[in-house]
Amino acid sequence: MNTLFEPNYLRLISPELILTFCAFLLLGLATVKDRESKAWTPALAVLSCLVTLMVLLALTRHLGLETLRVPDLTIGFNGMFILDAFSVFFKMIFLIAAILTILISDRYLELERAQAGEYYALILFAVVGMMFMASAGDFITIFVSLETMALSFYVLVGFLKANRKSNEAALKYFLLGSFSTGIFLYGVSLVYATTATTNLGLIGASRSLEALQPDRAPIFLLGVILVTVALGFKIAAVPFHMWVPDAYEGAPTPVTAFLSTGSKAAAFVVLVRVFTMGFARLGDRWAMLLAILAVASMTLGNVAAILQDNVKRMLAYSSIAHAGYVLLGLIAAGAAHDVPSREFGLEAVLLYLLIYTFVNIGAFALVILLRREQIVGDRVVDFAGLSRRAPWAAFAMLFLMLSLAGIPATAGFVGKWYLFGAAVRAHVTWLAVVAVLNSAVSLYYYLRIVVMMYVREPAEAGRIVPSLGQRVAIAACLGFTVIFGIYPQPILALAERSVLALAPWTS
Amino acid sequence: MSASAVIFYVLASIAVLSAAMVIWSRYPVHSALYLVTTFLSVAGIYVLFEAEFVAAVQVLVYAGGIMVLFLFVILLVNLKDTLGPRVRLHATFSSLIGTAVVGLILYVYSQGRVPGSPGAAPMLREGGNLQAIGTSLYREYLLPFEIASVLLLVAMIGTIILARQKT
Repeated sequence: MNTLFEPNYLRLISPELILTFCAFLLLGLATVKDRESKAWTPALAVLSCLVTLMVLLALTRHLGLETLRVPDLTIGFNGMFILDAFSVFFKMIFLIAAILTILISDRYLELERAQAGEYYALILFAVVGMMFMASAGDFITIFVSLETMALSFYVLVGFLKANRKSNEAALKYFLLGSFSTGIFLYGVSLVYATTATTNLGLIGASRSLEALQPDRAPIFLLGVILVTVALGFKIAAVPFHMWVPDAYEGAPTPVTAFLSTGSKAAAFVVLVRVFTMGFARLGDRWAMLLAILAVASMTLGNVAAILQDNVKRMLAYSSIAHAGYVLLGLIAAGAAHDVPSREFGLEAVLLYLLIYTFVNIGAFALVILLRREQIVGDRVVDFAGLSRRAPWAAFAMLFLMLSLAGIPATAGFVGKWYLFGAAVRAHVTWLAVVAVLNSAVSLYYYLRIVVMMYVREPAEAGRIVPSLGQRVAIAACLGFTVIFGIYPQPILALAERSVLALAPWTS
Repeated sequence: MSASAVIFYVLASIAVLSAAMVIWSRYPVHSALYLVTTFLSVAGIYVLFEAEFVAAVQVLVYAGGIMVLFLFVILLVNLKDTLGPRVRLHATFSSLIGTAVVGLILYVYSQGRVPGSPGAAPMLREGGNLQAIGTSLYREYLLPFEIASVLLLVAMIGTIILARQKT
């Protein structure tokens, strides 16, 4: 950690380097006038993500990150970059989310007449930002990579330039996002002012709150609160959720899918890293802070979702509620007094974010399926009679909705089981009770779509034929939900191994 | 009085005078130009204190980037409609807050509690703080520095995408 640069460090960031290079390539391709070769852009984008994923996994195996029982860390760039099993898990989530998003984008962009190579390049740039976020070991790295992701998303949300809703969404997201950036920096500067470092590990190791000079402790706590506010904005937790419904509704639907999964998971990886490394000694304090956010997010998200007639808005509020559920795992990690319970909480967070990525992108893929010429297809009534017009798609949507609601035999149930279990194990049972009640409420609006699809008569005849990309994406999401709903052991073991990397700080 | 003290008082009085002119001039564009003068003389003061990096940032970011933004807004927005009773209310409030802040600064100064910055001294000896910042940017903060280049590229591409005509 003392050496500032070694050629070896380039190997640590090789997946990110490759993906950045691919993004440049796609940008170059966007300037080509030839339509034939342009049609290959989405395929190339998927290929870039696959290659990056492969390199990442090969690197993981080469460094022995996955098999080592002892927590293993590979730290580079003076503590700025940490490659461990924990970050690899999240990088996998980001790459998978990007692949699924690209698969469902092609047909949609064609219908919106917004085909452009830059779209795919921006998605890849967003993933680069997310991947650096997952590995960031310093507030400075967190900040620049967070902004790389956020800027890509601001543009992606406003990508439909002819669409007023998309413009409005982008502007609102941009303005509120800029505020959250400012708040984040202010919080970081206060933490720096009291600890004289921006390195998460050093902040965690430096001093406990009691050992700080008495006049500095409140400043440090204020810094912690401000950082929480800024990250709460990114995970879409109440009361920092104002941008979510508008941004999710106005954005191009594939971007909404990516925003609600990739961006949320990226914000959570930073939350986990910052709170378990930097602020680990304040566990019981930030657990209380997050508990307020969690209860507010779950309750407001679910109640507001009931009132929505637009599916994208409904899924936006549902995504707010899900941020609240995931917070439960992190709260458990902060509130629990023994190490296994803390790790259990973090495992639940990882597991749920992976499951949520598949389920939510699947749900948005179905919304995209209804988008046709002249029909926006994002109202709840647009789902009427889908079981007759596209039986397989309706079947997939049925499963995805049940999974979001957390019905047994779906992956969503497994995820919620572990999250709520973690809360009980950490003796914050009341939070688990609130979450279960909220899940019951959420059943209403998820099942409303199912009823629409299976009970109501279709408003128009004609079958809906998905494109190849859509078929692959929906099948992957459905397969994941079903298989890991019944047999979750592989992803459980993966999450368990990944959390071990955080052990030096959780114990 | 030493030479640097003379230069300091000249620069400081230019800064204060042009800051006052920012408020007093009738035309927004004149205000903006006086603001540039303030920024530049403050940058001069920074150089005087051997804070070259802050001076360079002051010129590049404030006198350069932010002023251009100000001028754009002034030229694009019709300001005539906005000068009304509400502005007067704003002015009252701002002058109250401004007076309070000046009072606070004077109070702290009179108490002799202005904290020095002991951390700055050793940096100056190794070829000024410009070099110190450059070294740490390219060594300790190499990775964030490189990610920032991607960040700026994304910002540039984004602007072009949003601003270009539909093809």
